[in-house]
Amino acid sequence: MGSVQGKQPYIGISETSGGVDLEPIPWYNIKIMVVTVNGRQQECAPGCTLAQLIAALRLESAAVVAEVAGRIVPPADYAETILREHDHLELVRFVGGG
Amino acid sequence: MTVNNGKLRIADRTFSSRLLVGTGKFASVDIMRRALDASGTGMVTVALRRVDLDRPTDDLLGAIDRTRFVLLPNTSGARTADEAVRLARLARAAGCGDWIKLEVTPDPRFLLPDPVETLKAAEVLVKEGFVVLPYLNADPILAKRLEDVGTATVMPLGSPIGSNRGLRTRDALEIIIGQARVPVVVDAGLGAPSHAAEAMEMGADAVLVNTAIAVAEDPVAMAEAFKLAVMAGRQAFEAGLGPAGARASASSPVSGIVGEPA
Repeated sequence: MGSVQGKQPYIGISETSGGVDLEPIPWYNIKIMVVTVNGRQQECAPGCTLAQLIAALRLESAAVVAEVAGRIVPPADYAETILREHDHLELVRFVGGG
Repeated sequence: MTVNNGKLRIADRTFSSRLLVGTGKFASVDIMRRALDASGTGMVTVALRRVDLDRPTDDLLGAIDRTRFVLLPNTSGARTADEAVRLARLARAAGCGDWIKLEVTPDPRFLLPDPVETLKAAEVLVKEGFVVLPYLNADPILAKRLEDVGTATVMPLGSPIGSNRGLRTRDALEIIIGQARVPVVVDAGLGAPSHAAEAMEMGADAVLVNTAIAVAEDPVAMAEAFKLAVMAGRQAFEAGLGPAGARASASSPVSGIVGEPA
């Protein structure tokens, strides 16, 4: 994921991304955008949506709440939320607690 | 303290159990699920944390039947009012309702709640339409202030979170229970069913238990023990405890004792 080497899929056309219908792009044309997810650098394609990122991370989108650049994004808006270079994302979910 | 025909009413909901259960620290999701069943609870707390990107399939919500349990997300981890408000908004965005257990604990050693930040956050959250259940130290004046800004309950602590030390704040809890116009949920530090029963006998409307159940040798059996203790304590409260006195008061007749002069 996010690799510029060889023919590995990148976010947006990954086979596991839930059937996102994009034309495969030759690796030498792939441009990479970097965002920060939960404090960790993550590569994705320019124009990648939040839904595509969550799918590529193999997360169950219904269980995840997102904050993008300080703004809370409800799950219904994931598919329309286009990420921008250097966006800071927080992806949170419920865990056991008292 | 509010009596409502044996049922606990918080905001617009009625609960047949007066035991709230936390979902932290269980050894497995399966044990947690069985403990929740055994506890008879109708409301469970959860926390909000970053997704572990290395373990993407973790999913607590899938294990909690939300037709049976009202989900009460907490703001644990928040050290300021702003952080608590942010967590509450994120929890609401998850689509699991607008109930929130407000906790602001700046000091990790004792996890005591910050009264100023808690009150500040409560005001904001109530205005935003949240049903706010605030965790507070057993401070009767703060409890009143929280009630005044519109919280749905007050949840004073018995002793520090996870300490299992019981009702160390008993005197202040009595004042809070005596004056409250919203349900009083004694939260934190209840380490044994007897502690829960004691709180209920005092007239607390409910108790919240997590650690004592989750870390027991047999969490499922302990959950049931807490359920029974809460029921016993509540029934004792409703039955009306006899007065306590400094001296003995014979329970057998004091006259007609064999061998006494006539």
